[in-house]
Amino acid sequence: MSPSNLNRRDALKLLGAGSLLALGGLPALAATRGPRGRVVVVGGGFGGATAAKYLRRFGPDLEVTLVEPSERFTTCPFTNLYLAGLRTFESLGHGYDELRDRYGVRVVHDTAEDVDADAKTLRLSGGETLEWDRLVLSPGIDIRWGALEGYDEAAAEKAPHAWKAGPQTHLLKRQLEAMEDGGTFILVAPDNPFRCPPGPYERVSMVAAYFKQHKPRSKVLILDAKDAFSKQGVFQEGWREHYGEMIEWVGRSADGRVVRVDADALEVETEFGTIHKADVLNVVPPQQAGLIAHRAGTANDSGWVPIHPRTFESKQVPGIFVVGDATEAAPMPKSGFVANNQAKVAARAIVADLAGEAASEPRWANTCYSLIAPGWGISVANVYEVHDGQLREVPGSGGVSPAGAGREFRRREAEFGQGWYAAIAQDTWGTRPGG
Amino acid sequence: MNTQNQTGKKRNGPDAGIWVRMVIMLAALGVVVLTIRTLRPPADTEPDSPPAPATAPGAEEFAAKIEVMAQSCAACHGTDGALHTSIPPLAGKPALIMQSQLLAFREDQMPGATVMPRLARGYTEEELRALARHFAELPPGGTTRSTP
Ligand SMILES: Cc1cc2nc3c(=O)[nH]c(=O)nc-3n(C[C@H](O)[C@H](O)[C@H](O)COP(=O)(O)OP(=O)(O)OC[C@H]3O[C@@H](n4cnc5c(N)ncnc54)[C@H](O)[C@@H]3O)c2cc1C
Repeated sequence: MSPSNLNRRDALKLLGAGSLLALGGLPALAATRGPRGRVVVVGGGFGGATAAKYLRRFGPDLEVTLVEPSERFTTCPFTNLYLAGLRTFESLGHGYDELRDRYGVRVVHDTAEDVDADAKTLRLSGGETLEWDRLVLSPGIDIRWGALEGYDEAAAEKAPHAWKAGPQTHLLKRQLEAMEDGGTFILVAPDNPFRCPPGPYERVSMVAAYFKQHKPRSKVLILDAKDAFSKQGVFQEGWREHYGEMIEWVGRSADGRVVRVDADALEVETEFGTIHKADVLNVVPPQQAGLIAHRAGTANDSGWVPIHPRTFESKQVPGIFVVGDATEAAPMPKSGFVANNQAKVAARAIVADLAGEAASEPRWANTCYSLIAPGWGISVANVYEVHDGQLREVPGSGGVSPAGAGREFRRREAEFGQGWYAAIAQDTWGTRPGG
Repeated sequence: MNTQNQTGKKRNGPDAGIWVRMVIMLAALGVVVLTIRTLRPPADTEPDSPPAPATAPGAEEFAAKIEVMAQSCAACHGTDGALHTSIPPLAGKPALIMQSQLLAFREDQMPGATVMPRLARGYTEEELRALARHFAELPPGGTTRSTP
């Protein structure tokens, strides 16, 4: 296919026209609105849904197809609040109507089976084969079953990970509700890299919030494969403030690294042979890029996908762009915010690529809020850039909420966390808050 | 790297902080907001007017960069900065106010600020000014109006 003669100034006008597009569906067609081409996006989560929407905003003449098995996506963000009884599960679900009706994305509810990068096709489980000029993969993570001894799919039915939102989340909530007061909740935290670095620590905070209200004699124990974790200082300050001695964290050098799980006995064994017995056992296991990223040949031996940082095009397979948790993008964390930002940069790079232009210099932001107790929030925020061909934090930018900031500061960050959720859901799926 | 980034590092002079605080105070009274709102034509009256001619080498590249950069903000402020939540919207706010606020965030001169100083330090002053202009030109609430 030949890209139309779109110059940069036209492209800028088109970017501005994105808002018009959103107002009344697609504006009447002008001859040179942007490059033509077929882009297929795999995965309707944070990265994929954002990519599909912004491809159509940046390139109104592109044919964009989104492949996602479920008709309603439930976010991992705020599932911890669901466990604490602070959010309904339904309020975390988002559909694809707006992507389809307002942005003109073709949404196919199916699973991508295989990629042929030479023929530029994608085969779906249902039998359909899609042709593409550029392919975007945002499949999120898969659990590395068996990488932690004793932790396979059957074990997860007894000791849930709840690291993908869905039946696992409900299972963990039922177990917490069934536990007797005075019981022990153990969370097994993995080594880096993994989905949502502050996630395990927000998880135990929200479990403690539930215990404090309903089972105040219970204990929370974190067995960690690391010696430090995201926002550690302000997490631990908040734990002392709200939960006293209820939460205990054991880092790697204090024999916190779990090497074996016995899901039937709800027991775990650490590196130096200590056995811990849980009443509810939550294992956050080692992870890797979603299967389709491996099938496409984009993942390397680490299990993650190396990318060209400026565009997020796969280093291993040209023409395939990978975003979100599946990528090797340190120091960016594997967060929904980052997946959303990466998808926009990739969408713009694809439009530039199809128009025969160079991608502009990118910048990405991240803000991860964590809730420690109702009305007590903390955050980490950063801006990232490409420097000498590598991703890095912009020097002088970023940081964690200050220690000792006081009740009012924490209350406002808890409120901003709620605002963030509404905004990213709206920006990614176009759904209204709570809808 | 764009040469304009270097100029963005320059300070506004010794009085910038005071000026910034003054504008913010006026904004709080709503005076500046109302004045500028009435003087500024609605952003969408001339949708087909040609873009301003490039004035400096690299200006188009800079504009393209700002367009993509601005999309980052949507993850907290909604698509095109138009969503009202506990986090304020950006779309259609006067550029002058947003510029002074962003620069004050960057210089840590906004008491009680939370994440914005940490984020604003990731951009040059010139980029922040351009981002403010970008959002000022977008229709308030434009892209988040719920369809009937
Ligand atoms: C408990 C918890 C709390 C979190 N809290 C936050 C938070 O507060 N803030 C934040 O920014 N992030 C948070 N995260 C992280 C966030 O969930 C992830 O970073 C984000 O989901 C990554 O987006 P993604 O697009 O890479 O993957 P996902 O959002 O998981 O989307 C992947 C999609 O791809 C689909 N898919 C996979 N394979 C195929 C295939 N072969 N064919 C078709 N579709 C496929 C899946 O069905 C899925 O819908 C949290 C995570 C957890 C576990």
